[in-house]
Amino acid sequence: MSWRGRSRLREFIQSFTAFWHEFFRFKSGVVGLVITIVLVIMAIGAPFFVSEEAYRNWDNPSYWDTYPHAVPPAWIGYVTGERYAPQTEVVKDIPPLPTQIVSFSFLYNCTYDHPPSDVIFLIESTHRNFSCSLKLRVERPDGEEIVVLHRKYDGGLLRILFSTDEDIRKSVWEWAQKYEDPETVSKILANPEMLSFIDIPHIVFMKKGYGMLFERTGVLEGTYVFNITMIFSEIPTPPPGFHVRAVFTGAAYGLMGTDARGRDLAVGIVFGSRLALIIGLLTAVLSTVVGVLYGIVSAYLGGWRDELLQRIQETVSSIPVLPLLIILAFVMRPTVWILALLLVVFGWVGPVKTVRSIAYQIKEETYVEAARAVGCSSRRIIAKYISPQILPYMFALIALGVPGAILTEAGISFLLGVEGVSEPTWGRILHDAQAAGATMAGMWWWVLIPGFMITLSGLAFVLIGNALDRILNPMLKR
Amino acid sequence: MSAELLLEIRNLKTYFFTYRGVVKAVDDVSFTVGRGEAVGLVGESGCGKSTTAYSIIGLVPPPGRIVGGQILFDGMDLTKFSDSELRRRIRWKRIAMVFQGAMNAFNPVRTIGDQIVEAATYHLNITKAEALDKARQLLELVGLDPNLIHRYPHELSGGMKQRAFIAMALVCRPDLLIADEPTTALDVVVQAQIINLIKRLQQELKMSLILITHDVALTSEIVDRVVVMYAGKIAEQGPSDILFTKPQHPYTQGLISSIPRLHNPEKITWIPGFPPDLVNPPKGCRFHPRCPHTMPICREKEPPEIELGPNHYVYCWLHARR
Amino acid sequence: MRALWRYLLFRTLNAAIVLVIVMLVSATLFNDMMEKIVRAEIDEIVKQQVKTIAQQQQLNETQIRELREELRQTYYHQYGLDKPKWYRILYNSWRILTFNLGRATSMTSSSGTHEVSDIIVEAIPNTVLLFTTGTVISLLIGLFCGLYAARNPGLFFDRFISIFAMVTYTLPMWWTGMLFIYLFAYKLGILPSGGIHSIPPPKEPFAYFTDLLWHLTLPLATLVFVSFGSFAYVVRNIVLGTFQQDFVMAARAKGMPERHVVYKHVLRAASPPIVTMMLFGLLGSLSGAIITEAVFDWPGMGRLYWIAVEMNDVPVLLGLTFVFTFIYLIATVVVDLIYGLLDPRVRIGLMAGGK
Repeated sequence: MSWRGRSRLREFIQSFTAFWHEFFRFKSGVVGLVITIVLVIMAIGAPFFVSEEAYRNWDNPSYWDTYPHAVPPAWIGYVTGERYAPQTEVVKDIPPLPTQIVSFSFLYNCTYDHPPSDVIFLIESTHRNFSCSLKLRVERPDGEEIVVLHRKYDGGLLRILFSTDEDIRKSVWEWAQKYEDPETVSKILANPEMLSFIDIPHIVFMKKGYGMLFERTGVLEGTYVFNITMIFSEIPTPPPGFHVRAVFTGAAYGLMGTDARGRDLAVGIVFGSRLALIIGLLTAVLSTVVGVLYGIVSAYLGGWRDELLQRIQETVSSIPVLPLLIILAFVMRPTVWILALLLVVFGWVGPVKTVRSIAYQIKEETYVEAARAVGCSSRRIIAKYISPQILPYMFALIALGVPGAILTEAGISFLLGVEGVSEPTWGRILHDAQAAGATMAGMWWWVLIPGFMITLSGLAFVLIGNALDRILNPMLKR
Repeated sequence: MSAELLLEIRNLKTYFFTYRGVVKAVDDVSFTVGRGEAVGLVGESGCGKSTTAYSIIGLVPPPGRIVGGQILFDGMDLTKFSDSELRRRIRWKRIAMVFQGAMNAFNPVRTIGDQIVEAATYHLNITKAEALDKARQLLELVGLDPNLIHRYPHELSGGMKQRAFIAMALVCRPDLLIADEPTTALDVVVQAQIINLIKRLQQELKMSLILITHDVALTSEIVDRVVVMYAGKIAEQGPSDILFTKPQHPYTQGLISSIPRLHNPEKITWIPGFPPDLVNPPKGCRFHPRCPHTMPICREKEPPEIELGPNHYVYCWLHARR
Repeated sequence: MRALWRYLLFRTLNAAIVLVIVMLVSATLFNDMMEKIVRAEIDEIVKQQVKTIAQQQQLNETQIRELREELRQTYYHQYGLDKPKWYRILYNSWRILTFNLGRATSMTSSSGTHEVSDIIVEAIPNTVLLFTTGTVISLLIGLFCGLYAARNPGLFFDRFISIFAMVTYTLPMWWTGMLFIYLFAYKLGILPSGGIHSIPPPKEPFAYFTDLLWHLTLPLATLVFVSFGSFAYVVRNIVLGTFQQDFVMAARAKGMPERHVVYKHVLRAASPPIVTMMLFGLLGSLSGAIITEAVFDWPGMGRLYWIAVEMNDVPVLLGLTFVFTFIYLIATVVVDLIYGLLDPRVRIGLMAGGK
């Protein structure tokens, strides 16, 4: 490295270190920096913290089949002190036997205040050359037996979900009617739509008695036997083997719970940090750079050109941004990248006025006059005299521009829920929450956590930006 | 206290309590101002001149405050006055101050007249109409168009603003006018005009004057006595003609010889080094690191006040032998 | 004062030009986008109609094609699609600028008319009720808190305001709304989760009024909670900065009592930027309108906008954009006027940030 280069490097390192010393004096800025680092770690390390495959399958409903739907985070037990059924899965391989009856059971020990949110059986057979009648029975610890399902099974993949299967719902409802308050029963019979509000899988685990349909009797603790019996009309040849998966989906799940479609929110949130950071930074950097250049050039040119550029800036800044963005987003259905670009198109107007006044003051300085007298080209003056003084401040402006970008993107995603176009962002998760009525359904985790992340990210950059502004704002030095 | 003395400052100490430490901005300063006398308070930037002035009217900004000494004004010790007493009885009525850079000393959103009238109606108990009349008279007195009372500060040039401020300072006919760097940031021609104006007013109105400046040459014209301050302490004080022709303190000598003269072919010199940190001032005489005549005792003990003549005092070990 | 009028005229002219340009831009954008949608819809309708008629009348290939063209042309003419694009854009812009907002494609006002102006005029009072009230309250609270903090800098209240301001600045208003709904409507059940009145609304005036207030509480609280912090912080900074000015020291040296200094000097000098900030705050509240109104299902201009987008109702959208921009620009001119009244430096031709 040449001598000039080396001394410049030393200068740079010196001012760089001096800057950091200044920066660490601002506790708020340091806090912001720490939060940002945490977010960056979350973003980069996302595949290590959660499953990337799950993220890619966010919009794929079948992937989330065996996840509990709309359950709070697993740690809720510590908060409420109640016991929540964990996500439990049992697999049985039934070897092929030349019998006419195949019967096997799954035992489930329910010692929880909140029973499993769903009971799912996935039965696969080795071949499909048979036909049988399949009966699914539940033996409860109180001796009650519910024949939940009685159906023809011809092999292949059979999916039994207590929550959605119509036959199961009917069977359980009919069984429960025997023990429920007759008044309640007749009220439901009069208003059949009330049936959809009853949580069938939960009822299976409820103590019998008045109020059981609305889970007021409490959970019946003990061992439950889920028995599947298949009766063949004739012994099939060759006899089929079965691979059976029983899933008792948890009453709570994961670090952040699940949404109404069973999606593990932790996956969406952790991966969402990537998009939030990228969009925020990209938009802020692009719009700030454009705005700063615009301001400098406008101030430097002066005269009618400056007037014209300022009028243009004023026009653009008086366009109501949000309404226009919503329309554009609605019609174009953009990916988040196009959305970021749109934000830049409207966002560059921000720094222009401030930068322009700074550039004007610098322009009036004698050394600029001297430079011009010596014959420096405009480009050189802008590059060597004006820009270096504004450059550090530009970083403060960028930091301050990030929260706006994150919030606007979140707002648009929230409003429009741009589904299927791109990976989910925190805003989109909130959109799904709102669409599913999460607030009035008590699913606080679905609302609180994504919004908290949005706020936190914005806050981190505001803190950093404020600290940077106090250190680097050339106006304050004058 | 004799009828001749208007203001007597005794052992004034004003310190600033900052996170870096205690800044001893004014450290045991004593001088007097007689009735109708013009005193120049001279020294480098940061030597404590302005702080002394603010101490007199009790407007030392936090984190500073007066920690010791007395300020005897017309028989009253101002250090014992509460803020509201100072407000009602002293500020502007008896002691007025003209600030450095009157550019910003006027409120930009109110007219000149408004701001003059405000002081008049508050202190003098006259009606607004009477106050406006007074304002007009005062503006004429300082050589400005009386109709300027309707104008806003930004419509006046720097020199005009300074004059207007002086006019405002005179509205209560104060006994003492403190002019803190009244000509800094003005060009040379206007400087001369302002200084001459102040001199003329002082003589016409028989006011006492404290002129604070770092420009020694400025004071030579109009003050009777000069107080030279260095690093929060007084170096030398005495009649101006003596101080200019025969300065006794090395610092004063340095200051005087650094004034470029039109007719004297002598080379101008300057004082090497720069003023000390007032949180940790040098031990002994504060000037000793820069003094060409330093002696061992200068490094150890602070010099006492030594009387060299009537009203002429120096604080230097060089003169202690006598 | 003559200078003031000239200044005002200049700013109004400026605003008018901006308005025209914005309308042209909006009309162009909407036109392009919506044209595609309308054309597609027309094609659909035509296809259906042709199918039915062809079956009834047993037409052959050529006749079907002719019929389709004919029908298409009729619809194009009806929707004005046959005129050249620039004509349509200019026509729409001119029409709206002269306050002729036209008829909605499908939306209706509650009184049943299709007039865009009716639809919008219905919604405005609701937005004003919520957002203007809320912003005014936030501004007042912010003003007092900011003043108090500036007069006692560095103390607990001041630091608290700074932190509170930063947090609430990044808080999305709509998300806070969701949280408030969860807390007060779901958990505590003391406030409604949305809407402007219960269904059906009470008939008796007093009950109607209280019902309205009851529904107004939560969105209003959300708005104020999220906004007043940043206002307070900005006021604090402006006032603090003003306190540092020399003329404050000069006023104190003149023996003016502290209260006089604060109100007659500091506040007077600080009022231009504070008032500007307040008015822009009022404007910003309009923008926040859309999403927050969606969360609370509040029937104001914001929600109207959202519905118009969903229903592809271009006339309403254009009309709303016009109204938004118009209000914004009027406010800008008003801000300039008030600023000129308060700060004489601007009146007499000195513009900030340039000379």
